[in-house]
Amino acid sequence: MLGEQLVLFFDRNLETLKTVLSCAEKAAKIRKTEERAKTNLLTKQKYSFDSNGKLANCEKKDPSLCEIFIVEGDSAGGSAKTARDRNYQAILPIRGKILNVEKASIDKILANAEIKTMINAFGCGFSEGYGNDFDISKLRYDKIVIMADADVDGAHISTLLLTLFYRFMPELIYEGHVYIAMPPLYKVMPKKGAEEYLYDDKALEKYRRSHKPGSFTLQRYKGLGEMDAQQLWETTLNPETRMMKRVEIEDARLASSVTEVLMGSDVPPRKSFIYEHARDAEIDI
Amino acid sequence: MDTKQENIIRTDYAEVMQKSYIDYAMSVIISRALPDVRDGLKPVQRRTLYDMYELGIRYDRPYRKCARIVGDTMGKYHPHGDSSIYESLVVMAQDFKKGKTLVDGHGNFGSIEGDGAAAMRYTEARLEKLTQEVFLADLDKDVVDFMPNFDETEKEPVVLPVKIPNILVNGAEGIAVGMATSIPPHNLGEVVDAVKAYMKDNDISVKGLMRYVKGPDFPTGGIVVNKDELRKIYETGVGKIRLRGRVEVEKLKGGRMQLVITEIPYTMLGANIGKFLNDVAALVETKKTTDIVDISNQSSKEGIRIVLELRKDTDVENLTNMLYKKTRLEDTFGVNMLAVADGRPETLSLKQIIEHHVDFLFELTTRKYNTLLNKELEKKEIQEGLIKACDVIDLIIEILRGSKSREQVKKCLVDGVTEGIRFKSKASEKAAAKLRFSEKQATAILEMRLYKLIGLEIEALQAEYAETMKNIARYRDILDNYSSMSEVIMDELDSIKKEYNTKRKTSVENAEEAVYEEKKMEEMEVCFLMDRFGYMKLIDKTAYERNREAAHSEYKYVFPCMNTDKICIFTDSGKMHAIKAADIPLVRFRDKGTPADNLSNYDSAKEQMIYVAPLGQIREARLLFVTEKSMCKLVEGAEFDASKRTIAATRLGEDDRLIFVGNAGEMDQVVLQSSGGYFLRFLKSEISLMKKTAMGVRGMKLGENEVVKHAYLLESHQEYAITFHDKPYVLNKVKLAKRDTRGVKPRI
Repeated sequence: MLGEQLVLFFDRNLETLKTVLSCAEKAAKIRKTEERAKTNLLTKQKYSFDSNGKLANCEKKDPSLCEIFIVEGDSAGGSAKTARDRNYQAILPIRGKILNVEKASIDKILANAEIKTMINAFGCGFSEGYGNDFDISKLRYDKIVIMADADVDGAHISTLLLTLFYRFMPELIYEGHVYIAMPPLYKVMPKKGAEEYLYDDKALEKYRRSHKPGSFTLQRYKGLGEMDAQQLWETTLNPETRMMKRVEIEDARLASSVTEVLMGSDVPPRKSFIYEHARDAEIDI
Repeated sequence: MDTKQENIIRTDYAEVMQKSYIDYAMSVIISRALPDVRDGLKPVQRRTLYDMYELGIRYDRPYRKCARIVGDTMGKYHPHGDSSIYESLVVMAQDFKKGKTLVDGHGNFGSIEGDGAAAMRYTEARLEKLTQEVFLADLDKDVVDFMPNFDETEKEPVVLPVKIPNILVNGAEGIAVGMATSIPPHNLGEVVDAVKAYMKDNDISVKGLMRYVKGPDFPTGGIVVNKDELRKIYETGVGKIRLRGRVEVEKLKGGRMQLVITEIPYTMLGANIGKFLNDVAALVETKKTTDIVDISNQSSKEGIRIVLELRKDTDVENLTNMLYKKTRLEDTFGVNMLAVADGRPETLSLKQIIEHHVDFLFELTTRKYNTLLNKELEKKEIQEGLIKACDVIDLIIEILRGSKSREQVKKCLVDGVTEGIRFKSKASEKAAAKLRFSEKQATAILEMRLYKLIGLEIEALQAEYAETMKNIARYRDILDNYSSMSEVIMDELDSIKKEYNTKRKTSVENAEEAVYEEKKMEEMEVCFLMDRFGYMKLIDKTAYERNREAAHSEYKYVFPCMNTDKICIFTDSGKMHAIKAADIPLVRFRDKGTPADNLSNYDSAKEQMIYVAPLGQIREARLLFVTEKSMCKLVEGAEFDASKRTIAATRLGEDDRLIFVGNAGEMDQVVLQSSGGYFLRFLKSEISLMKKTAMGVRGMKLGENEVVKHAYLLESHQEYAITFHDKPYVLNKVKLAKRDTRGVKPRI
C-alpha cells in the first residue's frame, strides 16, 4: 500500500526524489571518505610519522612538555627543523594556504592532505567525520604554535588555521593550547653595541627616536625563510627569549559570529566589515 | 607544569581574527588586486615596468631575458612569488588580451587559444615605445612621488606618470577580498577624445562623453549588442555587456555553405574556445541541430577562423541564433569599474575615471613645468652673471691677478670685499667694491673658460640668455594660466593619439535577442492516452489499432491527435492547462506514462480534470461550460488557442466550480441534473455564445444547498440513457422546458 502510494508521489514530485537521492549519495560519499580516513588513521597511529612524512616529531612523549610548530611553507620548515630543540619541539610544515573550512563541505575537509596531516599529528581526533572521536586528553602536545610569516599572507594563513581549530577542535582554544608565534619584524644592527630584534612597528619607532638615523642598519624580515636557523632559534623558538600570543576566547558568541562573517560564504557582510574597519588596517605595500 | 618564565601575551580569538583579516583584506585590495585609477596599473605591473625602465630595456635596444627582469623586479621592488611577476609581464605583452600592449615580447608569449607562454628562461622582452613615451616619460622631472622599497634600499614611484587613462584603454581585472574589479578595454583614440572633451567642458555628462567613447573596444573584436544599456553601465560603473562573436557565411561550390567565426567574444579567450567547439559538437550529438556537418578550428597567425560546414538547405540565420543562444558565442561581460582612488576602493563612473585622470594630468604637468622652470631660473642666474662679467672682464682679471686665494676672489665678487687684493688703481678698487655677484654666479665666473671671451661667444651667450628668458616666460605662462596648461596637455594628447591610435575593432550596436526555432518535428498522427490517475502518454497509431479495446477499457481519455498539437486540460478550478504533445513521451502501449503534474502546471492535489481534448479539435468546436451553481455558457473553441501554459478558461463566481466542459457541436439540447434529483431539459439555443471571460447565464433554478451534479448534451433524434438509482433512465423523456426553471423530479 505504502509502496504504491510512494511511487505515485515520487512520479509527481521528481524534485523531492532527486533531493532524497542526492542526500543519500552525499552521505554515502562522506561515509566512504570517513571510512578511508579512519582506516588511515588507525594504521598510521602506531607510528609517530604521518602519511606524507612531513612531521618532524620530538623525542619526548610527555604531552605536557611537547610543543608543535605549524610552519608556513617548506622554505621556512627546513630552518625550523634545524633550529628547534628536538627534545620537545616538533615541526609540521604546511604548504601555502590551507582550505577555508568555513566554506568547504565536510568530505572536502577530510580529504584535504594538509588537514589530515594536522589531525594525525595532534592525535586527538576530530570533532566531526571520524566518528566524532575528538578527545582532548589524547592531545600529544601542550602547545600548538602557528608560525607564519610576518606579512599579510601569513596573517591570512593564521586566520585560516584558527578557523579550522575553532570549528573542529574548539577545546584546543578553550583550554589554551593554541599559540601564535611572533617572529621579529626588524633586526637593527648598530655600528656600536649589540644587535637587537624588534617585534613590531612601535618598537622600531621607539628605537628610531633613541638612535640617530644612519647609526644603524635595518633588516626587515618579510618571511621566516630569511632567517637562518640560529636566528630563528633565538627569536622565535627558544622559550627563554621568544614572544608568543596565546589565543583565548572571551566571548563565544562573538567568536562564532566573527568567524562566520570573515570566513563564511556570504559576501555582503564581509564587504561591509571591510569598509567599516578599513581605517584600522596596516597595509603591506 | 610550565616552569619556564615565558613572554606570553594573552589575546582574544575574535580580535586576532579581525586584525589579521582586515590587514590581509586591505592589503590585497589596495596593493595587490586592484589597479590605481591614475595609471591603471596594479603594483606588480607598475614595478615590472619601472624596473625595465631602470634597467634601460628600451624599445630601441635589444631584448633581454624575462628571467632577468623578473629576478630584478623581485629583488628590488616586489618581494613575492616569481610566477606572479612573470604572469603579469606576459599578459602585458599579449596583444589579444590588452588593448595596447605595454611590453614587446620575443618568443612564445602564449596564444589566443589559451596556450601558456614559454618558461621565463626562454622568453625575452623589452618596453614598447608607447610605454616608454606615455607611461614612463618625465620620471626624472620629479612628476610623481617616490617611496622607499620594502627594505629601504631603493626608491620606487608611487604611481607612474601615465598620460592616458590606461585603466580605460587596457581595462583591468582582479579579484580582491570581498570585491572584484572588471573593466573592459577601450579604444585609445576615443578615450583621448573624451578626455579632451571633459577638459573643454567639466560639466559634460556621461552621454556627452559617450559621443566619443562609443563603448568597449576588445582586442578580439566582436560585437557589443546592447548599445542602449551602455550608458547606464558607464553612469554607474556596474552592469553587463552582451557580446557576440562575428560570424560570416561563405558559399562553397555546389551551393553548400559554411559558417565562419572570424572574431570571438573577448570572454571566449583562452581555453573557452575549446569549450565552444565541444558545445557545438554536443548540439550536433544531441540532435538539437542537424545542419552542421563538420566543425574545424582553422585559426592561425591570420586570426581566428572557426569553420562550421553546413548542410545544403540550412536556415543560416536560425542556426546562428541558435549558436548565440546555446553556446558562448554570445556571452556577457560583467562590468564593475572598481579601482583604488585616493587610497580607497571605489566603483567609478566613466566620468569619474576621466575626472581623476585629468586631475592627475594637471598635477603631472604642474610638477613637470615647475621642475623645468627652476632649472631655467638657475640657468638665467648664471647667464646673467656671465654677461655681466664680460662687461667688466678687465676688472675681474685684475682682481684675479691681485688675489692670493680663490676664497678672496669669491668674496670680492660676491660682497665687494677688496681687502688684501692688490689693485692697479684706486678706481679699480672702487669699482671692485661695488661688485655684487651671487654665489652661483661667482662660481660660474671662476670656472669660465677663457675662450668664452671671444666676441662671437659672447653673442652666443646673449642669444642663449634670450632663449632662457623666452622659456621662463613660457613656463610661467603654462603654470599660471589654466588655459595654457590645458593647451599643452591637449597638444600632447593629440600627438599621442596621432602616433598610437588604432582603428576600433569591436562594433557597438543594438541587436534583437537571439531567437531561434527549434527543429521542426516530422508531423504524424499519434494516439493520446491518459488513465484515471492522470498519467499520460502517446502511442503510435498502429499500436493503438492493435490495442484498441484494451485502450478504451483501461484509459479514461483516448483520442487521436497530431504530435505537433497541444493537449488542453480543463479543470474544476476554471483553468486550462496546455501541454505540447511533443513534450509527452511517445512510448510503447504497456510503458508507464508521465503524470500531468510533471508536464504542466496542473496540480492533482488542488484540482480535478473535467475535460481533456486536443487543441486541434477544440479550435473547431463550441464548448459548453456548466458550473456547480448552474451557470452555463457557450464559447468559441478558437479562444483557447493561447501560447501560455495555463490560462483562465472561464470566470467563476464565489465558491463556484466548473463541473462540465464539453463539445456542444452538433448537439441541440442540454440536460442538467441537480443534487436534489431534479432534471431539466432545454434547448441549447437558449444559451448564448459568450467570451471565455464571461460568467454565463443561469441554467436551472436550484433549491437551498442544491448544486448541479451533471450536465449532458443530447441530440433530439438519438436516445441517451443514464443509470439513475440503478435503473436506466432515458434523458430524452425528461419534459422539455425553458431554461432557468426548476425541472422535474422523476419518480422511480
